[in-house]
Amino acid sequence: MTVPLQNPYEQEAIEALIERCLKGDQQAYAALYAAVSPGVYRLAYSILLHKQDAEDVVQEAMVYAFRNLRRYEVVRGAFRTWLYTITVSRCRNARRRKWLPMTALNNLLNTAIEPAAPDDHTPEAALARLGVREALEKALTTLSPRLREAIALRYGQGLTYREMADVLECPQKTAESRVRLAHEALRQAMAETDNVLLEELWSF
Amino acid sequence: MSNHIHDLIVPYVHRQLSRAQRELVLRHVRECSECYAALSVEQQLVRDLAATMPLVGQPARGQLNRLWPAVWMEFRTPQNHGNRWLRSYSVALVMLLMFAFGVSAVLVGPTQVIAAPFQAAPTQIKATATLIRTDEPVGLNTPEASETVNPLTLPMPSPAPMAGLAGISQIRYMPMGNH
Repeated sequence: MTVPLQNPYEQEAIEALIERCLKGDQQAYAALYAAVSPGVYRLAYSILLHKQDAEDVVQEAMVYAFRNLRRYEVVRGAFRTWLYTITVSRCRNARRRKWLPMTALNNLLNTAIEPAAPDDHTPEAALARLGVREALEKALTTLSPRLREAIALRYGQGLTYREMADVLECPQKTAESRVRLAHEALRQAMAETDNVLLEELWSF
Repeated sequence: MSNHIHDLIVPYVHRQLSRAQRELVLRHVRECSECYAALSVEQQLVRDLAATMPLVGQPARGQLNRLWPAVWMEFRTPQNHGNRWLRSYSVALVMLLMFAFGVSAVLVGPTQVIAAPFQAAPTQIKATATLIRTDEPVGLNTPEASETVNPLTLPMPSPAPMAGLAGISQIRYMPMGNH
């Protein structure tokens, strides 16, 4: 199990950027945006499953974070945790504004960059990884928004359960429970996808 | 083996068990092939999640750079809190006034609302009281006349004062200052 843990050196670099931002350094704002916005976008996209809505959330969350940078307290947690709390809140607002439609598979697959996984050295391995990813992304659409939030924070962003509880503003046990429920739902959805694929293969 | 540990497998793969529970699971799957198979399936799903979820929603090259000017411009634009608060309070005030008006209309009822225009009667009464001091007090000592000129004894602000004046046929209206 490889959960990407947050790099403490990265947190120190971000805190240094925040200090420069608070002194009015415009380049520090740009650097901070470049450092954290990809994570914000991935989180927003994983929850909303819609490119334009995720971009809107990035803009809203980053502007709010910049305006309230003085309110961020280092002692209370990592900057990313604070930022993800804002992002999840903005995602919930976006969902309220616009009822989430049934997302087409084509929309889900519209993710341009595809970093290579460590074991994707051969074309066959890359193809297999792509197949898993497609199945997983399709299965994600079957989850409720709360369960998508949990799975995106845990496995998309590598947060601990304690950090998840802070971001989701719920007890730690609730965060753990949501991950388990998401796991069960994903397994069921992926099994159904496998059955459909098998039926298609047998039809030839 | 009859005592399977299916309930513990998903929490185990998500690292949600205590140390004692983890050891229990490990001891059990060494002896139970069914639970071992179930554990393998769940571990594979978690491996797929860990490897695939970070790739979901990867931004395209330059996608977030294109957003930066809009973010910076919105951040640098001063927020107009005052107008927003003013708008909010105005709407709240109008709603409160409408509510108060509605409640008062329901509770008070139509009678007093209709009676209100007749409150102008004291002006007429004052003029009548001035006329009492004329040199010809004919009929002013009658009970009917006394009642009509005293505004405090009027039961209702109604045409009654006018009716009382109608009975005083000899009162003369004299312009002020022409005595």
